[in-house]
Amino acid sequence: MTNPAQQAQQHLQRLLPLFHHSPLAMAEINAQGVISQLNPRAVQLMMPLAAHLGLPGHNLLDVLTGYLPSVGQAVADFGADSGLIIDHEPYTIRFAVSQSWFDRHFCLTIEKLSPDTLLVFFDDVTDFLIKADAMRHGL
Amino acid sequence: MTSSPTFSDPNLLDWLEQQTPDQLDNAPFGVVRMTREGVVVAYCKSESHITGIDPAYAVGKYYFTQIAPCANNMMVAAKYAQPVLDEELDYILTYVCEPVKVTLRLLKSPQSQYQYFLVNRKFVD
Repeated sequence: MTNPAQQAQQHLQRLLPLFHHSPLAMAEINAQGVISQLNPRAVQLMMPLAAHLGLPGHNLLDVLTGYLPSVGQAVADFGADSGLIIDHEPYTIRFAVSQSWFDRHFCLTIEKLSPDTLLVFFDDVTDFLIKADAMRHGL
Repeated sequence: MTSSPTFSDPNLLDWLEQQTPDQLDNAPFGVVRMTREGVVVAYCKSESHITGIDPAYAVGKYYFTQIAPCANNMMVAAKYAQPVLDEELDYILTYVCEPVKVTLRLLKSPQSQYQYFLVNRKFVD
């Protein structure tokens, strides 16, 4: 027999694999961009981008703005206490790893939950676009 | 019994190769021993303390796809395709959902039976 608090804890435990295995990168940041929570996919995608800029990777907004100044501007210009700042916008980012250059296409969503809490969802959709293109040409 | 070498010791790979999985638990930093195919053979306790992953869960699984997808990229996992690897880099791992700043050392040589993913937690900003 479990009490409501234990049941809530069990629900949270069951939620974790969903978050951890999500193919979508997810991060919670504060108004300055400092990461408070993130899933493995977010680390996987963000760290090569951060390293290329010489950033330590603890501030996601700094990483994104380093490539996409308009993203930082959109966050700074958003006056409401909550709401959708960027909704599934496509971006192309060019960066290098081990002296090889890569052009990758990203999809980005940023939602403001409160004045000091933002959720960032992003994904590298380059391979998806290639597959979608092949599908279109195959039809 | 010999004392543990430091994280940046140039002879660390030789020392690691001589340790049993139980002995790796005594290393002052996180140690993941993998086959050359990336299957976890030993996941030491200090690594478990950094990531929150149970060693019993990790052993036998593909490290970069099943245990640490956060490192499955060009910056880390792809480096193990090289025959010789000894590189230190600053990185972030996750403890549940919280970011943890670490230094990684990636080790592999043609003479080594295994490849290694070493983690040193950074306590200063």
